[in-house]
Amino acid sequence: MTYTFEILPMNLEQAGYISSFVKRLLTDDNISKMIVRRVSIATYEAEINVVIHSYGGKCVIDYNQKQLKIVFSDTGPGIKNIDAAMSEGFSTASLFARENGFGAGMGLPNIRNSCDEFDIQSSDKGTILTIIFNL
Amino acid sequence: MKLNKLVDILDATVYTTKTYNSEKEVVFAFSCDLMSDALMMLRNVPLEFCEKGILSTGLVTIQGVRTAEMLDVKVILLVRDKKPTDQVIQAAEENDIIMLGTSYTMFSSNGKMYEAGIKGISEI
Repeated sequence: MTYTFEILPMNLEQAGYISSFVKRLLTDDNISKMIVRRVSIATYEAEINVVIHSYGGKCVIDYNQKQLKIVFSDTGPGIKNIDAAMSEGFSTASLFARENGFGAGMGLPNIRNSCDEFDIQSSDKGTILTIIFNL
Repeated sequence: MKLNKLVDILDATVYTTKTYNSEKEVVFAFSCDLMSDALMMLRNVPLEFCEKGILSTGLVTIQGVRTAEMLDVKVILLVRDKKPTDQVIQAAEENDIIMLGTSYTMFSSNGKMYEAGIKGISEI
């Protein structure tokens, strides 16, 4: 099954909707709770990243019995230094993000450590994050 | 300990009357204002830590509820007398989360919980 969601920029009221959907999807299919937790954490962190850092984007979820693949893509402004962004504690988050509980600089490292496959590509045209979980 | 004992110790307010269960067993707690800290630190703890755990925070936005939801934490303790909006309370109840509030600071409420036997990640 494939599911597509739009993600609005700076809309923290909506942030978490996709993660909730994915969590319910896996829970209803009796996927192991430890896997569900890893998926939920990674999806939520990624969703928040698009909301607080980008001009908006979308999320495409491909789900089958063996694998869950989630692609987050946005329309910019991109990550200037991916190596730095992958370092724990590095953050370019705004005061708005920090006031809402994010911006510790742990998002991308946490996503990478939660999934089985991780890829990120970025330019000033946007960022594409692909995360895969073996189920 | 039972949740009603924790409410007594912290002189806590119960915001989510629909989900409050005075007999719920709570054993563990984690405290932070940055939700990324919770999402990272609780990623690999035993499931029981979250299921019988308390997320203690000064963050009163809906993202605290979302974070608890993702981690399967069923009790949120708001410290420093932070007041949740009706929308935040509703979101907690929809996710079967109990939301409490205390006027104690994070330091003092943690101290009271620790003294009463609640354990942190360092104690498991």
